[in-house]
Amino acid sequence: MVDLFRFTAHELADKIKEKEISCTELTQNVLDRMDAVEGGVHAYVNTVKEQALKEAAAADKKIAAGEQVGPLFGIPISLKDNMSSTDMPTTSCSRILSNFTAPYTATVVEKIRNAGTIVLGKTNMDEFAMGSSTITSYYGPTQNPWGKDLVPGGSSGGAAAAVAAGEAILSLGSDTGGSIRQPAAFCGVVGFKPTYGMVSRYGVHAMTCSLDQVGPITKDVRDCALAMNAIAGYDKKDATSANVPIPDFTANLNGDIKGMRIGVPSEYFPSKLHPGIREKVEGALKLLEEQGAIIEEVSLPASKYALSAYYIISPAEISLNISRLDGVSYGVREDVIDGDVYDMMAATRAKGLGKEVKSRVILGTHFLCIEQLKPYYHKALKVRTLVKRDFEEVFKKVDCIVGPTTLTTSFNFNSFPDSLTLRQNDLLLAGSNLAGNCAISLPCGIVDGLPVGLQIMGNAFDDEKVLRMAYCFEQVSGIKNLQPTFVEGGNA
Amino acid sequence: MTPEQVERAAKIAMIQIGEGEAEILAKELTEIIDYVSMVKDVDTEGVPPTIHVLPISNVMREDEASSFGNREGLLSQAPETENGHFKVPRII
Repeated sequence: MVDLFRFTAHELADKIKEKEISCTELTQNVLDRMDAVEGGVHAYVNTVKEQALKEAAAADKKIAAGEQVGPLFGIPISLKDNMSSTDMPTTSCSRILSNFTAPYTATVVEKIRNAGTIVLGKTNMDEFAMGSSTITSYYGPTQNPWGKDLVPGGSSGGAAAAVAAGEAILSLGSDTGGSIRQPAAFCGVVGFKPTYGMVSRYGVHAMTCSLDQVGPITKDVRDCALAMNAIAGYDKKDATSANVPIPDFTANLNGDIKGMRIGVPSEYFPSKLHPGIREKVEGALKLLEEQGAIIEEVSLPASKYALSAYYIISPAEISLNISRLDGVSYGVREDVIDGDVYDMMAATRAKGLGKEVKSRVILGTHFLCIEQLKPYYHKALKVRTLVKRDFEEVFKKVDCIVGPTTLTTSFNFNSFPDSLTLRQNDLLLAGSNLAGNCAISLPCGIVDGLPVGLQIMGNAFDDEKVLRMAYCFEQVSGIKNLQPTFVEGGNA
Repeated sequence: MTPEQVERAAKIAMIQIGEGEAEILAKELTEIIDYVSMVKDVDTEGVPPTIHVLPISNVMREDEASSFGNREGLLSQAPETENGHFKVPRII
């Protein structure tokens, strides 16, 4: 049997349509792969294998009956554990929701399933998406398929690891300050944060409402565009969903970027940037220039404050979003002898929420206290305007901004970088969230045996442009659908 | 951030904290606050706040009752129910 799990979604969908393979064969092949490597990788926190095989069999009947099927039909996928569905728990990898199965389905889950995909399970993440290494999960960490004891990044670490290891052909993740792009970079896959409002958040556990956005993690750019075709669109159930026309995201994947302008901000190449990453990104820029793109230096001066604004706005919104977890109508309750309802809530939250979550809730609550409101929260909102204006100015001159996704490659569980480096990593990522723009990370080479991410950022609603440039780079560089070596042979 | 401020925020956020926890949290969170305090140096005179990136406004609809349709599903997730209601310990 061919290793079907190694192919991209569009390659596999073609094979299904040509009746070269069946949906059942494909699903079984990916499930077998899961059996072989999941013990080491731990990408999933819940799986629905029997349900997946039943759906695959039903899909095969449709093919046999000659039904018209879409470009993702029969493709096995995974969902991040913060996306509600009624067929298995949705826990955000938190103890407090460890027994929770949603009574309704997120719009994005409905949409990706309507495209004919087959859901295999939910993937591991930092608790309530708070983290960038998937180590704050209640269910324990995920291992990066690229090397022993390496973090997969986060918070969508399970999603990225699942695609990299061949345990899903495509994953959906969410990105608040880099949570799709950073794990995609660390695991050598493609991760796209669409423009804010492009994908419905209805039924997706909220972390920071004004920054959260759902997007795909895939093996190549075409798969990413196909996933966007399936999940993008206005949803009246999400008040922050953008009511704009949705393009065919695959329409401009033609390799033509002649005359497109690329801005390179010096702020995205700080001294802490790994020299190997700098070299790969500069190589990528040269390659894009050879394809006819026009490169120019640009500046995003407010970006040095972006992270501070992020670390104020995000906890403030987190403190509100986490307040709904009170042990009353769902989740794990901590019973208190002789206590009243408030004692129960405080105990439930103390026991049910992890350290990182509690710390951000307390910090956010502090920022929203009356005497901190003006100097911190209100100030951060104004700085956010400056960050947004920087991008708006630059995007008057250029089509895309290009730089690295992260300052370092994946790091060891046991030797975390200092907190300043960790924060600076987010510096390259959080700006797009604060401004509501779109951004993709795709592999642009290997440094010291580990994948490096190239970040291409676009203005709000320029998602197509970003995909077009990413596709061109992928085609010319030939860097796509990387196969991590470490996971082979049950090493991971 | 002082341990007293941590205790106050934890109380508002309804998170019970253990003995000595406020001191540890105060130290950790002060580090973050020191870092983010650089926003204070930014000149934001006349700059409006960005609460949200999209130019959205409230969407109004007719105020008509409709059924969620899965009352049992909602109740089934509750730690404790009685007669179709969520049950909690005493309130007063």
